[in-house]
Amino acid sequence: MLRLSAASKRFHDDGPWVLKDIELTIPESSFFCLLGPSGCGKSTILNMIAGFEAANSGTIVLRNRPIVAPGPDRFVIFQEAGTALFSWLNVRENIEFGMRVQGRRRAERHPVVDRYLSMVGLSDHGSKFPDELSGGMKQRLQLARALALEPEILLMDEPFGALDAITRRRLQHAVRSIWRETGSTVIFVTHDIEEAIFLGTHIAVMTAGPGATIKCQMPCEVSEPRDPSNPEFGGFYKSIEELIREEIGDE
Amino acid sequence: MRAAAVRTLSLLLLLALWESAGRLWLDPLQLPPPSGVAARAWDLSATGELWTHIAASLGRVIIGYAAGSAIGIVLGCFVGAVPVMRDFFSLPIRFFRSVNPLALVPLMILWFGVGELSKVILIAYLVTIVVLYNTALGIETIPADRIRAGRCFGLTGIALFVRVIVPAAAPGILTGLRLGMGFAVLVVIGAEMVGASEGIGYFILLGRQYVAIDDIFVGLLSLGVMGVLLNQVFLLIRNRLLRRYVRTILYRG
Ligand SMILES: Nc1ncnc2c1ncn2[C@@H]1O[C@H](COP(=O)(O)OP(=O)(O)OP(=O)(O)O)[C@@H](O)[C@H]1O
Ligand SMILES: [Mg+2]
Repeated sequence: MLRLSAASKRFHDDGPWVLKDIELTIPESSFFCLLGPSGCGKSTILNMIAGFEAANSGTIVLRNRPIVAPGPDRFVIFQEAGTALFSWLNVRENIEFGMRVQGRRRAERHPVVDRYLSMVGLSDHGSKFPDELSGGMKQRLQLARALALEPEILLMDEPFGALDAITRRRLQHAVRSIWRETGSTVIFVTHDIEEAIFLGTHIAVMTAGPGATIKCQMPCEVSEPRDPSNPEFGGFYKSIEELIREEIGDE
Repeated sequence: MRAAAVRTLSLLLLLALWESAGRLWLDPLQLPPPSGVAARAWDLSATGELWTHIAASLGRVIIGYAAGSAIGIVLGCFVGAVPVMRDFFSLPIRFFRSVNPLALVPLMILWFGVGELSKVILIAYLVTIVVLYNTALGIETIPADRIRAGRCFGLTGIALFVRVIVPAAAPGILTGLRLGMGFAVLVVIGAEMVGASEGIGYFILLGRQYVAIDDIFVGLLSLGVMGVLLNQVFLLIRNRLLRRYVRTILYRG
């Protein structure tokens, strides 16, 4: 379980609070979607969980241990795959990189690479370099690279925001089935209510900043199929939309 | 393929222009045509004289370049990666970047004598500044998410530096090394115009003393050819051995 208690953050000593008293409880193996108005501090929360940024006050605790630095138990899928991937390594080498860092032997590494390559559907592209991949392929590679380390928590910051609708939908399906298969916790930041309901087991909505907090946190128990053809889906969508509209006002 | 054709065409046109200018419009004593220069170069290389000078200059360039590159990369890494170092070096770098190395020739001679040392140091000095600057810039401009990704793998300190920061900064470092090579060829001539007894710079100076225009042109030509060839060698090594590190330059990936 990951728990943020009264976590507050500002970037300058006398600057405004970006986040104020964030309370979040993220259960193990959940698919936790974080929604909120633009600029409210979603990425900042993710960066604190990743260990890139420290909270000014409050605690962030993973399995009773405070988070103080990044580590391979929490892996970030960055929005811009092109900059996050290592351009000097080909697809296989990018996936292999983490295992090399861990000092695992070659014979051990190769089957793992093969497994995740096929899981994200890149088996035919192992020797290509990131600049030779499409946006969706890059994002899948980022996913495979993270999964190869079998992290407890995957942190995803609007990972599909830059993709076309069809690719986006395919990757949502892929992430969902990977999440089921691996049993890791996913924390998923998005603007897109539909995406959050489609993917999530839990949804949290943030207030608008500055000094943003968690407005509410709820389980997402919409029955299958999770798409607009399901009336339950539509009702849930409307209630979340209402929560967000309260924050940004009618523009 | 097309690029190669255009380049050949440009070379041929240049030679044709030069040849006809020397023959038709200008006094060949002022501007000897390429055929004359080539003949003179042939004679000079047959006696071995030209090669002596080229070897002398090339040796200085290589030694100065190697020393300057090594120092520049090491210092550049510190300046790019350690904020205190960046602040510490920023003013000196800007200062030395604006001091033309040719202005340092007299000082170098007073300090290190008229021998090889002063010449090599002058080249190394300029190469150091160029390589240092580009290395530091290469490190500073690494996208934050790329370094964060490295930290997600659990890398910190030296390991992060070696496995992520250096390869990510490689395009900048290699740009510095390539520019540095060009500057080394530029500055060696200045160093050789004072207190040298061989080298292309010295040879060109001799040409002026004896009013041997042909010789001056042979010297200039050797210089240009040397620069072009060194650049080609550099690109060959970079694109063969280090290709994966410059994909962002080659393919704008
Ligand atoms: N490094 C920083 N220095 C100063 N202020 C920052 C920094 N990073 C973020 N902020 C501020 O913190 C606030 C929250 O930023 P953050 O990127 O977390 O928002 P977000 O919810 O992810 O927005 P979006 O949905 O647009 O991605 C913003 O007002 C931003 O200006
Ligand atoms: Mg964001």
